[in-house]
Amino acid sequence: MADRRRKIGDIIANIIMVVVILIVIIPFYLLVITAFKSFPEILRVPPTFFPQKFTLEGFILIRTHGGDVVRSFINSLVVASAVTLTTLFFSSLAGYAFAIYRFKLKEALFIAVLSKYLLPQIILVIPWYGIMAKLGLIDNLLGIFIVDMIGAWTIYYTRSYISQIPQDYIDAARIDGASEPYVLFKIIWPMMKPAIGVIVVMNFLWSWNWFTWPLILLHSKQNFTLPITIAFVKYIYGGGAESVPHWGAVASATLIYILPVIILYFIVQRWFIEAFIRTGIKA
Amino acid sequence: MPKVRGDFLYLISFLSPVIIVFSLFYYYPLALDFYYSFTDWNLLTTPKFIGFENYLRLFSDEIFIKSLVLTSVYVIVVLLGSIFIGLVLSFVIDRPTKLATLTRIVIFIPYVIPDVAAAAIWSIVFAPGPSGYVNYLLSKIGLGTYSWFLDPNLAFPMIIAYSIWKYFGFCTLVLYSGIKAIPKEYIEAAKVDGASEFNIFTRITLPLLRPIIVFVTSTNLMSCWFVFSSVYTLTKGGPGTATMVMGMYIYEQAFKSMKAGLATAAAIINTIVVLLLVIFIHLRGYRGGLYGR
Repeated sequence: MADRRRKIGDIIANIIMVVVILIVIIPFYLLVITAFKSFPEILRVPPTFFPQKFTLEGFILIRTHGGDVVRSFINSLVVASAVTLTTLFFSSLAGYAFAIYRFKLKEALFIAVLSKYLLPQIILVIPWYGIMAKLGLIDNLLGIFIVDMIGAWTIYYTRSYISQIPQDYIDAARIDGASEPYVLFKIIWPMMKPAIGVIVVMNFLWSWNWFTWPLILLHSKQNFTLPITIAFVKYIYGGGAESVPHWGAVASATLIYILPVIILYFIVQRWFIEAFIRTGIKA
Repeated sequence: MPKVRGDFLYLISFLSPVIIVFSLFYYYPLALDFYYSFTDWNLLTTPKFIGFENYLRLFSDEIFIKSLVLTSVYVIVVLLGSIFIGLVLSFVIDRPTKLATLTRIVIFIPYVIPDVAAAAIWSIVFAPGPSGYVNYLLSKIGLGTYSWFLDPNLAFPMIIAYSIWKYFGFCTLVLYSGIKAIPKEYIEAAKVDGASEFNIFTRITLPLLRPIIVFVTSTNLMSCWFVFSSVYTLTKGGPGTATMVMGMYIYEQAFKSMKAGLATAAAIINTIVVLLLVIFIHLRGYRGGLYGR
């Protein structure tokens, strides 16, 4: 009796899981096939669920018309890499100070850093725009970078990681006459290699995904980061049928945009989910 | 922990980048916000002080009120919906099969990919007209075709459905990690005492998961309340004002209508509301739980 009930339970669970997997995967399948369809085939009724003829029409379109996806890809790559590097450097300096040193106002300062997460982005971008106008950084990728160059999460993360390192390592090095930067970069950094991996991936992705502020700050197509270009590719119209977005172009651009993310996800998937869940925060 | 070893200079140089960047780009702008909210400002000219007029104007603005209602509905349905689905699924995936492992990996993908990409995928899947994929399947079983994100009545429910699709995997895995942390003995003991599955769930699992549910709700409340990227990509707040959630409203006021003073006032009101909600959820949520603080 109990056995039969468990069996039915297993069957229902399996059905639910298959349905859930399909709900997630099918949209991605449709994205891929749309990217390789020609425009007439995209407009065909009934729609085809496998491209009858593979074309690179969408990919060619996003290279030539309105918004160069390659250029945007490079912009995104440059900003995300720069943000990741500076965050890694400055946040581990701060994380080290918060973990090792004792000083007045330490807790207050740490709370002030983390309180960043109590501010929604939309409340910051309006004054940011005014500040960037004064600095002459409107429509400049530098304006994206400087507001994002140090991450609060990374400070929090490096602080907790460094706190776990036995004090003896640090003391021994200091007795040998090592300077503080030497302790941090030559002794602690090699010990926190896995943490550095997490920091690099997370910060890169946050910057790669960032939409709101780049949308507001950047005005000209050659400066767009990838998400901004994706949002506008929709308005590249397909030949003939006015006002119908060229879904092939949208799909190709989106595919280029998510491919690095998906690849990264499957490579580092083991700790990736855990890292995301622990932070619970998305830029 | 040792004291700073006389080298106060190191402390200063390690912390000053953070202090400078955070003051300049987080706390100074916040102070500016409070000032701007009392001014008439179009982003580029000198702000003109007008007292409480922005705040008064907001509450006589029909679209602002509508936006507050839409945002509240959105937040409640998306959070409760994802948590409910997450609860059910976290039990479903709690088994040692390969299918369960695969499910755990797959459901996280929508959460990981960028908002703009996920939104683009949805606009392709739900393309209007008879050549849209979903439309074709629906018309095949005689349910007709729809304009989805272009339909004033459907656009808002579609945004909600999209957001649940994006978030449910995250909720599921967070709740799943919570379930994993519950000592097996509790469940075993209850089973020995003859408790039904349902009773075990409502009397043991759910109360023990309470802190986790509080965590999910409060960490996602802010990003849900000010949802922007996906709405911008999918509908831009339209058709008309059908999906004019708060993030969209503030953006439009500040950067399209150039009423930045009004927009900061709206942003401040909403931030205070959300922070009060988060505090409330924490006070209520942790009190009386088994992990009670």
